[in-house]
Amino acid sequence: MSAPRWARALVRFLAPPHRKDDGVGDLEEMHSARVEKRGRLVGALLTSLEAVDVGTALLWSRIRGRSTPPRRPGEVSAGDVLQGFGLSWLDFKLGLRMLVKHPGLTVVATLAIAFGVALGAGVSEFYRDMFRPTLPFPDADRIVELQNVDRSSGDPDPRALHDFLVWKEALRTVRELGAFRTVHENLITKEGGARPTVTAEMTAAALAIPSVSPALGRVLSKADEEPGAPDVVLLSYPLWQGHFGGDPDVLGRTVRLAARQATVVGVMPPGFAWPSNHEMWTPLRLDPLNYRPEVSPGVAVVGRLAPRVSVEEAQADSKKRWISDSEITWQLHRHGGILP
Amino acid sequence: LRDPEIAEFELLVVLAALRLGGQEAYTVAIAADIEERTGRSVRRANVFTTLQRLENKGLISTRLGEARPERGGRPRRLVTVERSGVEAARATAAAIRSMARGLDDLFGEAG
Repeated sequence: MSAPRWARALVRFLAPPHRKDDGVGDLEEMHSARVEKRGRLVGALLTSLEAVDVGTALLWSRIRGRSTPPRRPGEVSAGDVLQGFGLSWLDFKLGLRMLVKHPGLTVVATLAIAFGVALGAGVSEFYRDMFRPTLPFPDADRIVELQNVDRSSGDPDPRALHDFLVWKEALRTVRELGAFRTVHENLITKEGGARPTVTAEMTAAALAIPSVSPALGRVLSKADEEPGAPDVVLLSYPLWQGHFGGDPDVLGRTVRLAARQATVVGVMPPGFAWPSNHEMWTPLRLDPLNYRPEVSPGVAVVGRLAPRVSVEEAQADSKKRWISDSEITWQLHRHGGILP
Repeated sequence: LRDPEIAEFELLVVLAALRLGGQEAYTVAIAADIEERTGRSVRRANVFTTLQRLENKGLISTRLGEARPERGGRPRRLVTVERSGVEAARATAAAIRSMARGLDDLFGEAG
């Protein structure tokens, strides 16, 4: 004689998955004993009442979250961890109830937290941008700038054209050493007229440091830096879109940069802003032989740390290889001021 | 972390499981044993949920036995008291004995 079907179903429905079979088994065992002792009718009634009792207990247990799978001996639960900190789930439940009970306080607290998070994120971002800027390029933390510093005043000394040649030959801890300077040139075309631009005169090595391919054409090459090589120019994406209307046939066109003619050889992709927010790039063709060191034009020197070399190791290496007079020394640091 | 604490009814269930042993301790038998020894009426639902709670605390472990005809071909869930369960029961029982000591006129000879 089996227990009433609905009683079995109730226990099976409410018991946790690993307790269904034995839960119904207990019900059946008790029902058999009752029927034998008190008859079918009374047995069925008592078993039904017990099913309701067990079902209520299981339901209550489930509501209180105690129907989770059993844990192995020695296993630590989240509740144990909370208890270790002097907390319990009750603290969270009470907190939640307070928030529901006092909606005004909830709104104020939420706004305060939102403001605090926004303020914290803003300060963090400001600090990072001001003191630890990073470049949006692969391995950007390996890109460094070499800079002369006047020992007496502590100010940066941009006259590094001659030093650049020495550093390029002597340094083993910094590779892809390149130089650039920023100039302001007028871009003159037949269609667009004259437009002042911020241009970077760069060595091909300096332009290659970010490892970014052009959107159209090619980048500057080492041959472009040779004396007598044809003048070429590389355009930024916004300049190409704005001044040339995004003309896909812009490559090979001749433009006037002040007094010289230059051929457009490429267009860089959107967002490319190396070494800063420049609009055009032309080859750097400064010959140190034409200048005395103390009156040479200012250039910035950038490079990429050799693999597995730290900034500190590169600085130590440079001190060993540096040939300097007594007034000028140099330092190595991360380059900043780059726009994404 | 603190040692798990067990309540009075949990202590009775653990003690009953220890008395019955790993081959005979299951819900129905534990309820019957407590009824027999304490003389109080025990709801099987309470034993069922208490075993579940003790298992969640890691004080006991359970395993399914063989299917039995009187249970409609369903197995018993046999209870084994873990070492931590024995320690918890011992600590609770000792606390009760300790508190009852000196109250012999009310409880008889305790401990």
